Amino acid sequence: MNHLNEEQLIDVLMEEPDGQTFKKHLADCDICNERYHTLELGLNAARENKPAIPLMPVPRISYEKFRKKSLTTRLTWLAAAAALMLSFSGFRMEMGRGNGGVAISFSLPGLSSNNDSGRVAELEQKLEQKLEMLDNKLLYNDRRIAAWAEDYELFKEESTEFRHSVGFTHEGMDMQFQQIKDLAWKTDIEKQRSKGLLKNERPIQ
Amino acid sequence: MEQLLDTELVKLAQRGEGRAFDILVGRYQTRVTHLVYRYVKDSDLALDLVQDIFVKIFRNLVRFKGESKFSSWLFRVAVNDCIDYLRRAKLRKEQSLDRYQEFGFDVADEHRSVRVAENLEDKEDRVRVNRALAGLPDKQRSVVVMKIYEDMTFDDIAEILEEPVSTVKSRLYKALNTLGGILRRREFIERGVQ
Repeated sequence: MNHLNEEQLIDVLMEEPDGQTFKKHLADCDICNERYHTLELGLNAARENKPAIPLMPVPRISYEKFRKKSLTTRLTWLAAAAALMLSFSGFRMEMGRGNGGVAISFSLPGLSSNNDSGRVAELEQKLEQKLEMLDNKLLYNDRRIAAWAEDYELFKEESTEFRHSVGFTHEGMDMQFQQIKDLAWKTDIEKQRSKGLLKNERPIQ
Repeated sequence: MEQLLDTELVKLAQRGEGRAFDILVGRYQTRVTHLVYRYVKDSDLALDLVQDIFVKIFRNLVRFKGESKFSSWLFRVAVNDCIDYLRRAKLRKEQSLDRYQEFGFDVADEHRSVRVAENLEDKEDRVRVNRALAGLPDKQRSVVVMKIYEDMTFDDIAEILEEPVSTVKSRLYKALNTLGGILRRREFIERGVQ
């Protein structure tokens, strides 16, 4: 007969219903008996080391307690999420200890006032500063544009003077271009005539 | 309401019936506390862990679909919590050992070594077995706790650990074989001396 496997040995050891059928084999087989003896020693050792349960108070667990705790936890998370959202929207959160306990206040970044009129005054002041800065910038840009315009006029004058000095004008250029065009056309007509390609010859202008 | 089955109480608790939840807690809190204590061997810690376990059960009760018994689910959460705790504790101990190696001494170890030395002759095996028990892999240890200490059936343990019964028995075999092996070695040595 085959030796008992791990499961069968445990069934015998723990007196499981299936274990009864393997007991006879255990009595006849030295190898299985040795293995069983080791397990038995292990079981006894584990039982001897079983931690004794001391007297302990019954834990106070109730639905109501957990519900309140859960609600508090949810509210805390909700408040934290709201504070995070406000801080992302540009608000600054400040925590401090007041007379009534811990106080949390929100203000826009860069503003020190915590009341509405103070905030408005600060915002107006900041707006004025911004407008002044913008004015200065526009003035600066106007001056730059005026300087560019002046430079352009100067360049134009210098350019015209230069063209006059070398006798090169737009009108002169146009005339020269027309003469070159006429010459090219006449040459082309002459070539066609010599080859006898012209049938209805037009008078040369 | 006390006479209702677990499944009926769970359904009522899922509908917000606080009394049903309290009855379930009353039914199992002592067993859960004992189970947890067998793992951590510290009553204050066990009570804290039991609170955490029931908080988890409270939070996840709505999602419990009754695929396993409520008690199996509860004990599964408890066993997993205990294993997690022991893992964290082991990690802390290892970190403490690193400090020991770094600084060259550890006050806790000094006390322990004195305590062990006092009882060395008569409790040598017990210390070894205790160490071996503490050093067992998590699932083997869980089977020892549930089967030998808490006297649960193999079917219940299998459902709690979500493993086949044969695997549970095999784990118990390995655990007891490890513990028995320690004592067998001593037997052989004594026989050899005689």
